[in-house]
Amino acid sequence: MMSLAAQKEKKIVLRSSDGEEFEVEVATARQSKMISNMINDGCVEGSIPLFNVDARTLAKVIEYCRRHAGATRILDEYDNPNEEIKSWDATYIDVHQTILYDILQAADYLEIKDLLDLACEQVANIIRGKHVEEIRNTFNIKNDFTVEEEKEIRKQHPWLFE
Amino acid sequence: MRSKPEEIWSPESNMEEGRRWEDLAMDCLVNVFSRLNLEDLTLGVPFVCKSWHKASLDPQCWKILNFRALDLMPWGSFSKRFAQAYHIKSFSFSSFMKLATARSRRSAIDLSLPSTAFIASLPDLIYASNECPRVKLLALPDVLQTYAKRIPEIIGRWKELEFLDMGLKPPSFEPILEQISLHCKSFVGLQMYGCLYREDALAIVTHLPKLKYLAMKGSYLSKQELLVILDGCRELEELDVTRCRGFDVDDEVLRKASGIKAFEYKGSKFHDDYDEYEDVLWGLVLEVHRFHQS
Repeated sequence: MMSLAAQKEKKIVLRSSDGEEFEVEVATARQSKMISNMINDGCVEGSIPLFNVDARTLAKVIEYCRRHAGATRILDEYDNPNEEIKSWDATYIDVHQTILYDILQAADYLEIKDLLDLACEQVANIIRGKHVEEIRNTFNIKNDFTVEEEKEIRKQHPWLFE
Repeated sequence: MRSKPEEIWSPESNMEEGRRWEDLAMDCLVNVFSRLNLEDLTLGVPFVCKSWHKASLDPQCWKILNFRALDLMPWGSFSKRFAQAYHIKSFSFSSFMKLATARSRRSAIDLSLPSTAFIASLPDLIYASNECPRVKLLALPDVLQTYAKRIPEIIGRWKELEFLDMGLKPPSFEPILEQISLHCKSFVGLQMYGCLYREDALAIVTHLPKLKYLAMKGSYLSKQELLVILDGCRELEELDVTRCRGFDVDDEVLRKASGIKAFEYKGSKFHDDYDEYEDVLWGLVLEVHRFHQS
């Protein structure tokens, strides 16, 4: 097992779907379970190609991983870093819906659980309290139910008609 | 994908392209929906589109059944919206609870029933105990005298219960605690308010000596009762007696509570002006009312 300091020194290269390369510390890259598993299995040579993540999204994801790789260490030294990280997360995830979508997809693909949860919570925040039409407009979703199908949904609740 | 060359440079089309929220992976949608409350889960997401409807049926979305967060009065906004959305004549809490528990497929771990007995009554409680056997955190409606004797046995059915919010101290307080001590082996937290007499304090320390969390905000109890609890529940990590009446927090109390990580007693005192203790007064009124009923 490498020490954290040694891990920080060591760097690996991530290549986005559109060909841009990012050099990151191993501790940062290990925030992704998928990449961490690859490192453990010894199958990291040269750069890691990430076919599902474009450069803009990858830069944003790395920003998160770098902050959180640092936070794990701060946790051991200080009493209450949680609030600081929470407020950093809130600012970080307050982005346009398109970027939010990309972050969510990337976090799912790269298996970064905390980031996936953060993105899902943000989507939930946007949905909360909205009516169906408002939700469809917000997320640009088309109503793909036929009239019959919509009726069917209501009928799936026999308890309501007792 | 990019058919027209100008689209490459148009930020708008770039934004829309390929990002279809309806095609999000099912487990991601479930992750999002599991954070929503019962209102959004019944009136919002299922009607948006087919894939969202499908995801909203996953039991993972229905693990937290917090009915307390909704305005369930027949004239309330939720009841009206619900009746309208499902094309039913009138809203019934029992039917609504059946819908939510059926969706949870026995996997609910957090169940907060409406606090008024007017909405959630004995049959609802029995139904919930059968359909939600894995509940760890339970908030009870106020218990009416007429069926108070049935409550202890029902509570004892929740074998995995860890936290119980009783609301106003129910008439069958001691038997409930006894059933918890017999059947709920992981029980750690109790919340309630009302008048705590000596027998109540003794019931707590007799049946729940390993309690870790106890909240009695706005209750009436004397210093004697508080000391019984502090002496008897040695594993308390959090004790909340804010805005209580009947005792002053003096050196003796502080000494006995010194092992407790979070001892909250702000606003508690032996007695004060009537207009300042509405909460306690309310508890007293209900207590007297109950006394006359029994």
